[in-house]
Amino acid sequence: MKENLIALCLLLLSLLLQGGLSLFLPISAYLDLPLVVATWFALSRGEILGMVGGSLSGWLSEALFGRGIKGVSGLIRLVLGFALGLLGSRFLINGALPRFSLLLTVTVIDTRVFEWIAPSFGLSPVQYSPTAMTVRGSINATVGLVLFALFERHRARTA
Amino acid sequence: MDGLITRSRPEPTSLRRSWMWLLASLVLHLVAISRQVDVDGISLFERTVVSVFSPVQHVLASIASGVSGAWGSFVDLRSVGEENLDLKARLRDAELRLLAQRAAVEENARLRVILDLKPRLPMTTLLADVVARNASPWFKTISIDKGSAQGVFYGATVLSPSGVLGRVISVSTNSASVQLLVDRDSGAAVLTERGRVDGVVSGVQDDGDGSPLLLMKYVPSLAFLGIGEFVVTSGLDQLFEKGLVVGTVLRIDEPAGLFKDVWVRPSASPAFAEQVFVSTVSKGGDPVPLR
Repeated sequence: MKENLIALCLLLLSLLLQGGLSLFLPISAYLDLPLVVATWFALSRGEILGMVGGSLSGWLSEALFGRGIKGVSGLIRLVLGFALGLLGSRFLINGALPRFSLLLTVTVIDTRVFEWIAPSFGLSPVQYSPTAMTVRGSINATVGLVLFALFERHRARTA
Repeated sequence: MDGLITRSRPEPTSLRRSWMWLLASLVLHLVAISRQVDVDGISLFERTVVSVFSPVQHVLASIASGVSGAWGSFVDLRSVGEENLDLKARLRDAELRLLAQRAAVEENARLRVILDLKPRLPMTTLLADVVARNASPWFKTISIDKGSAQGVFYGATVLSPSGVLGRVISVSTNSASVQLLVDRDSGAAVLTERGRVDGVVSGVQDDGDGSPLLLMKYVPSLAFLGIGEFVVTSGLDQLFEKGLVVGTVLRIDEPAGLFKDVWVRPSASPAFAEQVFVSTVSKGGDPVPLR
């Protein structure tokens, strides 16, 4: 229970950091911290809490920084959280390369599905070129690798 | 792929339960999203989240600005003497220019009285701090630390010293979200300063470096425009006051049909805006919402 609460706090902190860092650089073009944290949440906590984390990260991001209809990102991340939770409960994804590939794939899926679904809800999101998408995914994955290592160290210390 | 180690397979019943949860959550999400389609204005969820987060965001922004300011002051000290001389020289030039501009303003006022023209911008504004900027990957929005308690209303024009930034799209008590002019869904009726060519601008991304630009549409193919010409709001959309600077013409795509596409570089850069002006009273004098 305590671990779940800490993970939830981390998710909220990542949202605040995303907002705070955006004052200095256009962070959203390169990095999506709530998505990285939600990915970790899903992989380490299973599909149910993965759904909760994914959905929360999407809803809160949109409520704070989005416009128009809210919940589209929450819906996508709900399914992503579920899938990642299933994956995390069946496999231990420990190596740097598998983690990097997974985070890159998650970023690309999240971005592309949003770009695909959002127009149905009357939204016109920013469209990323393949190069920008790869850069964004790689930065997300690199930051994710560092964060995952930190989270694991913390877990090992408290266990 | 030596890091991939298979864990124990979950129980079929627990997996089935998880799928049921997913289905239930999906239905809940779809209901929550579809409810918003018919709801006018800001939703209760959005209002609650913004109200809870905006004080924390404000504190974070203050701390960040304090740290950044202290560091900036430290760095600035190193070249302060040289900069001081340079600034004094610039100040002298500016004072001379100011004198000339004051004379021009007085002359303009006299001419206005003669022509019985009313001032074009009866806007009262307040200064707001930007507390979050483009924090979502999808939309070009900023959050400011002033809300309905300070007189900000839905649709209020948001300006930076160099031109129009956007308009307010949601307001809570002490904060507001601003849709930037460079957002893909934004729009403003504009005209060119010299040629008085009408058009509508909306946000686009530059294919080259991905920087936010504006695309001026519905410009007749025979219209005359020059590169570097100023583009200002025309006021025809009833959203923005007339005569506010929007940007400068960057390039012109030669037409294949009746209209040409004109690419405009926005004069107000949201990436560097720290403080913005928000209009608090609409043209008629009252803070009347636009929808």
